[in-house]
Amino acid sequence: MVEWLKLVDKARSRSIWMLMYCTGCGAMELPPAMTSRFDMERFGIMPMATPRQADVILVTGYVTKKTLKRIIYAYEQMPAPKWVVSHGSCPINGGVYWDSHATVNRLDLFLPVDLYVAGCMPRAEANMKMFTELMDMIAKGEARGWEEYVKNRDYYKENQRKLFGYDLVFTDGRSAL
Amino acid sequence: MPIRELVVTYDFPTDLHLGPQHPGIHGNFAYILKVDGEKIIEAKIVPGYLHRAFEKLMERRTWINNIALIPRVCVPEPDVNEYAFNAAIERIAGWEIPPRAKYIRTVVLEMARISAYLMYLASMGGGVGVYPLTQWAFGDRDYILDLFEALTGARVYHIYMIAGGVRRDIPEGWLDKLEETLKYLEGRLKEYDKLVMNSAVVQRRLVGLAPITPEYAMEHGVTGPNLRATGVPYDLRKLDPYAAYDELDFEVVTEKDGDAWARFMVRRREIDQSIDLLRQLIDKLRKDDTPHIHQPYSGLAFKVPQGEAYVHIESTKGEFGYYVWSDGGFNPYRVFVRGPTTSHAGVLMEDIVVGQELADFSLIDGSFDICPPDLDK
Amino acid sequence: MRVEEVIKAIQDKFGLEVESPYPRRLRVRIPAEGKSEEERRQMLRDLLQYAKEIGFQHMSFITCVDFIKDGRFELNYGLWSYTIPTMLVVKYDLDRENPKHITVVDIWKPAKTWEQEVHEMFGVEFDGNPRSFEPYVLEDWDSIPPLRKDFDPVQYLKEHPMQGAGYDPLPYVNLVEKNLEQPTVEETGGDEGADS
Repeated sequence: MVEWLKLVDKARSRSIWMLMYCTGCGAMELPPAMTSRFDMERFGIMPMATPRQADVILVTGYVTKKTLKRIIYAYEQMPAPKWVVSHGSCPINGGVYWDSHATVNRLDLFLPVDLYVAGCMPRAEANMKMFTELMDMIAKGEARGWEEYVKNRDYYKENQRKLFGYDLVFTDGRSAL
Repeated sequence: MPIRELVVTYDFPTDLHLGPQHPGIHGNFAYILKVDGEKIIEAKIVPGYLHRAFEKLMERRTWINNIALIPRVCVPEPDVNEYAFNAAIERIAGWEIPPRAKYIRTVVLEMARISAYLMYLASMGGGVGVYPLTQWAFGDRDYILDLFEALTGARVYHIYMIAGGVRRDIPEGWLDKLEETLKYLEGRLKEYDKLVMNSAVVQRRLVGLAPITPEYAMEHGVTGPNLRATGVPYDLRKLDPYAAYDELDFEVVTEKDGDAWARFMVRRREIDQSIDLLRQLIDKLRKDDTPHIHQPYSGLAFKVPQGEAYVHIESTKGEFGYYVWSDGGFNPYRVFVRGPTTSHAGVLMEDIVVGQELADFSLIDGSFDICPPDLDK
Repeated sequence: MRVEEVIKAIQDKFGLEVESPYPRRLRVRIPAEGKSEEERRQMLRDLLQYAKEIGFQHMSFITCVDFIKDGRFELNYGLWSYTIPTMLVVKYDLDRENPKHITVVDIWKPAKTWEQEVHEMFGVEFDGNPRSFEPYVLEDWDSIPPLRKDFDPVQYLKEHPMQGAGYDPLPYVNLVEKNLEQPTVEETGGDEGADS
């Protein structure tokens, strides 16, 4: 069984579909990585329009409180296994917006982050490195943030409740996740 | 049961939340549309996903800190922020900048214009389904970014202009590289034209889509290439010359129809214009031997005398302006950022999409170059 | 119409002093003294209407400045003319304690979003523009309007520790208990935040 899962991880690492959601300014360096110069499609990485078919969500840059809510909704709609990459300096500790009333300084309190890429903004080469790194982590079975999210669900939900002041629920009344 | 009957059991008109996570919306932005079948009958913007409170943060930082912060206001074309903010400081303080600094700034602004327009062509290519255009334009844009990197050390956020001039002079041999790149781009643009002009898909999608007249445009606060696409030659580079534009020789590009195709073509032709302007600037820079900066202040924390000034410049999205108030201290008292998208999205888009097909929405949004970061600030 | 003619026309019609601090910039202030609130509002609307008629076709912006020491808000209406070409900034002072004002959206359509922004960021109420009372860029906002000078973002972040975590080792949930690693002060950025 374990051997079989290793093979599955290997296969998964070669077909990462990333959610096409430009949450911040770091998304500016993704098109060069997507298109002819760097061409991330050669690694099997494709942008995907809907969260329900996506494997990885890139939090590209600063996270405003308003966006974070949508990121969480999108993340919870994604099927497991799923990965979160924090892209740029701002989701790590706030970056240049550390004293802004609109942004959230630390992303990892609300979502399990698998990989950080520092820089403002990370260059297209850094994006390529990030994707290869993520592929390695997935192939080795190291990127397990989605399991952490299930295991520490109370912790994340409590943080989210403290941030927004209420529980995030879907419109049909079902609690998120 | 026939499908038709299944469909009419829906309660129309219905609300449709478009974005923020939607591939047809440019950037992190959302609309709430009221649709009757395929027809849009009402639209409303939902901004704020990119709100970082720049205007508040700038009051808390020194003048020189702010120069490092502001490029982030407009991501596709960061240099307009640097220019407008620094020009506002210089205008309040009454500092004259040397001609070479003016030329270098103009070179940076025009390169940023080409890069932002290539991005526009790429996103329109994606919108109409001509994907080679997307791939080519982004690939060619990277040559501009490489030049930026050689000049300023960064690909996107350059932080190159500071009050009094630019941070450092043009490196050895850079102008030759720029010339080569311009020559290459000119050849490539001919290929773009072949791809777009002969494409029935592009023509069918864009010609006649969401046309506007000059009166309608000015009534709704439309500026920049979107206004010039209606046939009026209103360009702030000509009307309110800044940097070195008064020394350059150029004609304002206009198109007469005001539809999506005209908006596309204005931008396509302004790339040619920018290439021409850059060639003029290269000649001027080769002859010029003035210093690249005149710094009438010392140290990193300087004071700007009391006063206020509004500087607006022609960006690829429209009129981009900075209104700066100084109370004579180390920090600005207040900075107001005038982004073109506030009018384009909030006033124009809410009006122009009414009566349009839902399938065209993304193209209309793209053709006006709606860029949310300068609305949200 | 030329710039001198605009200055003269506004002086003749409204008796207001128009100054030209820089080339292609005009400033005019609606005087605060000697008139009732209604008269001043009417004067502002008349002036904006008149400016539109004499060739200022484009409303560039409406914005506000908080002069907290003087106890006033200063509204700035920026009008640009493509034909003259000049920018006219009309300044209007409001009482900071009771910032009630009247809309100009029936004269200038772009005022719709600008007034909405000023309402959210400064709390100025524009009577007659229902749209301006709706939320704009902020969601679930629970403090005073953020661009007022007495709003302190660092204080706000201290009151909202989940949002401000990382700036300061604030008392967020103890991570050790939750089976995750405890970040050190260096990692959270210490006192000054991290501008890198």
